[in-house]
Amino acid sequence: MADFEPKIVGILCNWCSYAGADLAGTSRLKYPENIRIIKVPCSGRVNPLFIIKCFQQEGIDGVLVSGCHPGDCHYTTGNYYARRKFALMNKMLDFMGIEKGRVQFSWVSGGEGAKWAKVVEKVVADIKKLGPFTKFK
Amino acid sequence: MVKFTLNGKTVEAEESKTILQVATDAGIKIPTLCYHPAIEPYGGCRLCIVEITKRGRTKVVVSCIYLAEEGIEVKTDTEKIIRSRQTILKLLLARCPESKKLKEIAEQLGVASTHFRISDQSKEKRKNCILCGLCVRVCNEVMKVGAIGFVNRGFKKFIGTPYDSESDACIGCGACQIVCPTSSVDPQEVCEEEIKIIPSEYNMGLEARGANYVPFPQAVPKTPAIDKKYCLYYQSDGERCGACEKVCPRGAVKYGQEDKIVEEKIGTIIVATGYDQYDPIAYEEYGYGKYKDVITGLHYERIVNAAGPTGGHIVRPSDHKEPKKVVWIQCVGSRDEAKGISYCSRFCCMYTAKQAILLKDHCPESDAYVFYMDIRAPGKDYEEFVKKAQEFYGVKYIRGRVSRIYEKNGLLVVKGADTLAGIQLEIEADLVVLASAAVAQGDAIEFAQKLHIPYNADNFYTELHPKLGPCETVTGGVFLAGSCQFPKDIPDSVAMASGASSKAMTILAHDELEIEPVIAKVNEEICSGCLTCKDICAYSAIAGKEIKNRKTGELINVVAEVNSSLCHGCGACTATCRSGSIDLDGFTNEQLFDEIAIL
Repeated sequence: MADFEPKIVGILCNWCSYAGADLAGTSRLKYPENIRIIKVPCSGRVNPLFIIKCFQQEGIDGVLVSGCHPGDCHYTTGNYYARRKFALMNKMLDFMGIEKGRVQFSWVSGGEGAKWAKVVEKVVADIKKLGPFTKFK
Repeated sequence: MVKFTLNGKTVEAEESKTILQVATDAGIKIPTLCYHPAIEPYGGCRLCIVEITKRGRTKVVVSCIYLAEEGIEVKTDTEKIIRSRQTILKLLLARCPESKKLKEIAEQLGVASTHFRISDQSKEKRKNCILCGLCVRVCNEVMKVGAIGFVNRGFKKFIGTPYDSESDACIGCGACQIVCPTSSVDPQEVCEEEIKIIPSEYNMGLEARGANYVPFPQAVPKTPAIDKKYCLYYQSDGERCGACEKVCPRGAVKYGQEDKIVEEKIGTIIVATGYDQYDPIAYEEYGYGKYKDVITGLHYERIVNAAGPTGGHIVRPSDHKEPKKVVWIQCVGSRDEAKGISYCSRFCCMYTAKQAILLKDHCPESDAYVFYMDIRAPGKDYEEFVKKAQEFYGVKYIRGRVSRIYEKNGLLVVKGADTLAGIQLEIEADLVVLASAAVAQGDAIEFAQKLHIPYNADNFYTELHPKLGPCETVTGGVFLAGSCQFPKDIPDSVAMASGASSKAMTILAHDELEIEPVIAKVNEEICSGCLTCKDICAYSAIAGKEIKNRKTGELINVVAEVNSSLCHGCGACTATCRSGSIDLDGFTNEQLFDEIAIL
């Protein structure tokens, strides 16, 4: 368990979190390499099915969805819809038996490279504690 | 309208106008002391006398109260008139021999001295007062206060308050001081309370401004604005003042006007909102805000400006004396992660060098010291400029920080370290200038949210790409110029503004607009027409489309339809569609599922 390295999917909005992750890279910040990033135009684009799909996938242990700060959405309201959707989804995940902490949400702006690194560190640490995800597989 | 001749020329005027007004409009100068356009004329000083000929009879009248009349002949500069004016002025001079204004008019009228007995003014409270009563009338009639009036009669007459004590009726408006032709009124002598000035924001509070003022000399449009917070007309619900309306010859002042929101359809936006100066009050050791002679670079900039409050003379704010030793402290707030901001404000090194050079130019006897951390002069001829300040002008650059500033015998003792020499220094300076950091505008975030443009951790607006898109933002049609993106000096700001405006014009110059191909599309065959997507779309790009039987015209179904020029491609509709019939080109469900599948 000690050397368990989780595989985490990061679904990031193009304008804020993806730019933030990019900034973390160009600023040469170090953060765990456990995360694989999928770019979407907006956190509002994220269909809850994408998250379920991730857990069906062999070897994926967690999901992080990240968008613009509330009020800062490039598309005005996309992250508000995302927030509402995920508030409901949290309950469903609970019902499905996916532990709290496996799916996480964050707001990271394009200027917050350092925050992105911190968020990833936290998510990786949380999922390391939960261990590998085996339920659907 | 009436017609009459004025100095031989026929003029036409409204009947309600006085000869003085008509003459002024015609460009003929008539000397006067007691006339003010906001106050009813009164004929107090008699300087404005003119000669009129009416039905063959000539007489001398006071032009500020004599109304224009049909057929009269007016002469403003006959020998008789000039002689009479000279006598009047000599009488006034006998009363107030010291008055600057009277001496000025005396010179214009060719009066060298007065042969009347010069009155003993040593006991007079207001030495230059000519008793024209303008201040009394403005206080009574315009400001509706009536705090001052004439006291006594004859030789003992003077202007003052009841019992000549400080008045509790005085509102401290200062109108008496403004209208006084000989600058002999000091409202603070009259008012019980301390009179507060309105500090001029543009001149960094070094000067007072009126409630009706042009915000700054380059203002566009260059028209005065009324500051309702201070305007006595608005503060008294129209009871007091209203002078600007009476004075304006164009009738442009209308108190009934309300602020209004103007809606315009525009194609592109260039954001050039600039920066703000860091308030160095946080650095208590420098004593900014505590000592009057510790100022920021912006204050100094106003002092040294020829159009500024001191007319370009470098003087200390406390006693208006020329400074002998001036100390600049660089990096106040900049490059200080613990207390200020982490970045370098970029232009302070250069303006400090310029300001020190200007001091040496204006006051060659003075000494200039600059405390610096590093000199950052990256630009064409910048390094040479700093070298010039050091070597040619002899500005003393000291590498080190200042630990404390305190006042001693009216001087500011600057304690600092010279880290190159490894010694402690104490400089007794007259003036200390802080090169305060450049920070983002206070409302930068609020404004960015309105425009949907991103900003960084220091609230400066983020460009599209640090190298390839420095003027653009992620929002199409919104461009950046100047220090709202990051502190910039003038050449950089001008270059960026040129880039941004060219980019903005390029969009407008084309007939067709190029957009990203990331657009939502509807699979009409499975769309149920619930139109949930229509409600969720932030751009109103989705509408219902009726599908009809081609032969009979019978309505078969209603489906969603995407207007591709309005769609921005956010994909909110795709995540909402229950039947999965709406998808986003470039980020289709299939593509995203496949991306997940290969992980």
